[in-house]
Amino acid sequence: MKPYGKFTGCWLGLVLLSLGGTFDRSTPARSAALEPSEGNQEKTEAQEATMRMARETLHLKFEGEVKPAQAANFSGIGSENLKFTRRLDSRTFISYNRRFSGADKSNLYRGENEDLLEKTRGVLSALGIPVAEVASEKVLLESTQVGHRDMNSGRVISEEAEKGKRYALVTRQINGLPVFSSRALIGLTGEGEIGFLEVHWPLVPAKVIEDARQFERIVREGWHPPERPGADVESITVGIIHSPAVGTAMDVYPTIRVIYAPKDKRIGMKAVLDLNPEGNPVPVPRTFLEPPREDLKLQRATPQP
Amino acid sequence: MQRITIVNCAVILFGGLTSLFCSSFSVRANSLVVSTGAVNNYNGNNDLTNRINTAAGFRSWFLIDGSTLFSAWTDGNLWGSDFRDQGSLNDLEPSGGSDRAQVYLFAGHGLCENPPTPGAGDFVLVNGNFGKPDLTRVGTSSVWGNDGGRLQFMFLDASCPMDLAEITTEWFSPFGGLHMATGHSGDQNHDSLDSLNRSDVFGSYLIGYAPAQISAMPVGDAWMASGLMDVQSGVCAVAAAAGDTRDDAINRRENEFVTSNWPNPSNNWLAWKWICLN
Repeated sequence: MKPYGKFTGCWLGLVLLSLGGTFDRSTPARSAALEPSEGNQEKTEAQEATMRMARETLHLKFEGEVKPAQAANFSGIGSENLKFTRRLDSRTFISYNRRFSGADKSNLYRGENEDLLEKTRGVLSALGIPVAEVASEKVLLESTQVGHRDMNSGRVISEEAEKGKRYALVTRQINGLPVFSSRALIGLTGEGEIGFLEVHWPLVPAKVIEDARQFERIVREGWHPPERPGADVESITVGIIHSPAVGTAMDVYPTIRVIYAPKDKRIGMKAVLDLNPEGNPVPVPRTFLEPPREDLKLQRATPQP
Repeated sequence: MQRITIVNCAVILFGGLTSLFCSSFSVRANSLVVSTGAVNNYNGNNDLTNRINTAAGFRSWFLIDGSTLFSAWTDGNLWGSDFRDQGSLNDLEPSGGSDRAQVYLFAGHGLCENPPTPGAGDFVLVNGNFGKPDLTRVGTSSVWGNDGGRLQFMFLDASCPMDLAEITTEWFSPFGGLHMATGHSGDQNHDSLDSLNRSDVFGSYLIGYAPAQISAMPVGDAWMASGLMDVQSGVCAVAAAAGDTRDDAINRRENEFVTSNWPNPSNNWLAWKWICLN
């Protein structure tokens, strides 16, 4: 018998057993990409860093039992009503406070718009987001309204619209190149604490920026997008796209983004093509390294008469 | 919501040593039934490129959470009749009617007015190889959650399917048991773009991912947080909820999750909210 630790002799392989539990027979295979990871020193350090970021950097106030969690490329911490998570592979941070939602108008943020923007700048600075990469800042105002149908007349009677939550939206550019897929969206509670936070600001490799600059030169020199039936070119913009905030993949690509306006103006939704200088689509940034398995049917049977 | 724990264990035999490593995850019992319908191919009449991918991204979050897929028809396999309450072929069609699932995402074209006015209509446009016509006016042809239908949440990722000017004229009737609907308000010059990720991100906020402490959000707030991705200035993300009473409608608009499992409301009251990209 070979000593423990050597891969010879008595290696008998791996046996997987599923023990216990039942689930709906039609439940599809779970994505391997989001399985909880095993504990190790790195995981502990990552969780401690997440805890510090939540409490000391963002001043999140957890109440009751607080649980850390780490799954795939996420490290999070949460209590019953407040959650915070960050990606370990991207400058991405997400937080949601259950108290941010609800019908209680007294829980709406009471500060001025400029205060909301100032607090947002502070949060972005604390998270290491470069000021030089901010393209625009704006405050978005939610509105709410209620109506009912009069049972006798059938007429709808609407109340006056009211103000709801406010969000600060910050968009991104790198030396003038728009990063279409990045953003910061922050909403505060009535107490001025973070109610909702999504800061998705991944590092962009230098090669991607360099390629985007090349795309810019080509476009300036008279690049023409492909024609598209039923639509006219509305705009051509060179920029950068990447994978979304919540996911296990982080793909980043330069792109020539062409927006097409429909010739028939009634048909809504403008087509968007992300192209390279050859006029071919750039790869679609993935959400998952391993998407959930689906067993999709390709053809739908038409009903028999 | 009751959860069921699945335990996977690996028995590793190595040398003379036997080791057992286990990990576990949980899925929701009584998982949701979800459908999507997405159209890229409109026969050269302003074809789109990202609708099918974004619908797949939306579905992924539900499938990871243990939901069951009912249908995911695309292009010509998605029929106009799937969105209509009446007719020999309708929204209860067994292979893909929109009222068969509890959650339905449509990703495709709508119709935009310039500007939208009360009575002009909100629309869903497909390019089906059956179930004609392709155009469905929501306010006069769609009723969800009625007559055995089980749709609770209808999400329209299209252009102008929920114009603010038409909420009160178009959107009471479709709530036949339906809990909430989401969409966009815009016009011919201020429109939604064919987004890669908007519905994908929406799905992630609807479902969350507990093992990473990513929280699910109420439907209305999940849409407010994602609906303005890849839209032009002047477009609004809109969420509407029906209720038996005023307070019920408001409570659902602000607090109902896709997993709340609340009973079907009547459509006596409607509470809606919107956020616009200025």
